[in-house]
Amino acid sequence: MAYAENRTRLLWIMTISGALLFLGSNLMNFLYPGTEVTMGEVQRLFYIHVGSFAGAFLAFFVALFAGMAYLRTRAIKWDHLGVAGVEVGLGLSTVTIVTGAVWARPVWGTFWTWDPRLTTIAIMSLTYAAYLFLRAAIEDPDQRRRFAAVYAILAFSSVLLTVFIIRVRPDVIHPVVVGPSVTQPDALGDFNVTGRIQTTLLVSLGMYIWVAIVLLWHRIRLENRVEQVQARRAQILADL
Amino acid sequence: MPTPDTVDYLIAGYAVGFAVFFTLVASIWWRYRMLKADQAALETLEQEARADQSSAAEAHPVTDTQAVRSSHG
Repeated sequence: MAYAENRTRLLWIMTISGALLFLGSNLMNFLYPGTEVTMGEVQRLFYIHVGSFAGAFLAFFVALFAGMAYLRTRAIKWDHLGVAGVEVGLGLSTVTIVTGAVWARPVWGTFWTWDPRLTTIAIMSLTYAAYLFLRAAIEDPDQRRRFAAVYAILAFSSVLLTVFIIRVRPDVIHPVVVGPSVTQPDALGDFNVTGRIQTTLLVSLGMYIWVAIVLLWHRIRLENRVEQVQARRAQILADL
Repeated sequence: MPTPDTVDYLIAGYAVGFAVFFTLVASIWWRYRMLKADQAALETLEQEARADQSSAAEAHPVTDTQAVRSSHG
């Protein structure tokens, strides 16, 4: 009992610190780095855009790990972690897509284009959205968990494709901010990441990773509660 | 080249980004709340069922004894 109470207390401490980090990081986006010269104020969306993708990547990686752990152990807790990872990852990657689309309008002149990076992130999001629909459609719990585990493992290939596509395809217009790329000279809306922008980006990345962990934990608690309510309902029906 | 005025896009980006993010947070919170309410309702149902069983047993104690006697012969 004391163990459960301590865990709950820890979760709430993490939640409050996550909320404060969220607030602080977003204030920092406005107050610390200054205005980017070629894009203007809209460049500040970059911190949400990249940060939320870092959180989504972590969540999808957790779903991959949970899928492998479930197939190995058949413990229900891994299934709970898996669905939590997919749901949180999908939410955060949607933040990435919408902020990227709004940023692209003044910089590229369009909200959306079928550039390789944008195409792969659309495929990735649809793949994980399908996970949730298909999972809900399978009634047998064991079959559902097995299916979800295998799906989460296979679906992670779409995340890797999204991450690496801009580094290997020469025809992308999406800028590569960190690391080497074959496309850098042609990227539209490209800018140098130095000094204050880099620090702000790192804070935003850290914040979204922290927030993703907190959301994962809350989502696992939700899934545990679903399991408890279903078990209790089945027990009452059996007693009638 | 002068810096373009893109404040409107910044506001729009923050608005949609936060809307999606807080929808995710609110959805987890709301479902958890609903489940707590479900659990409370199930507990009430269980308590009522137990109370019904014990009041039925108190109301008909003789019948039970008669049933035991008749089974003995």
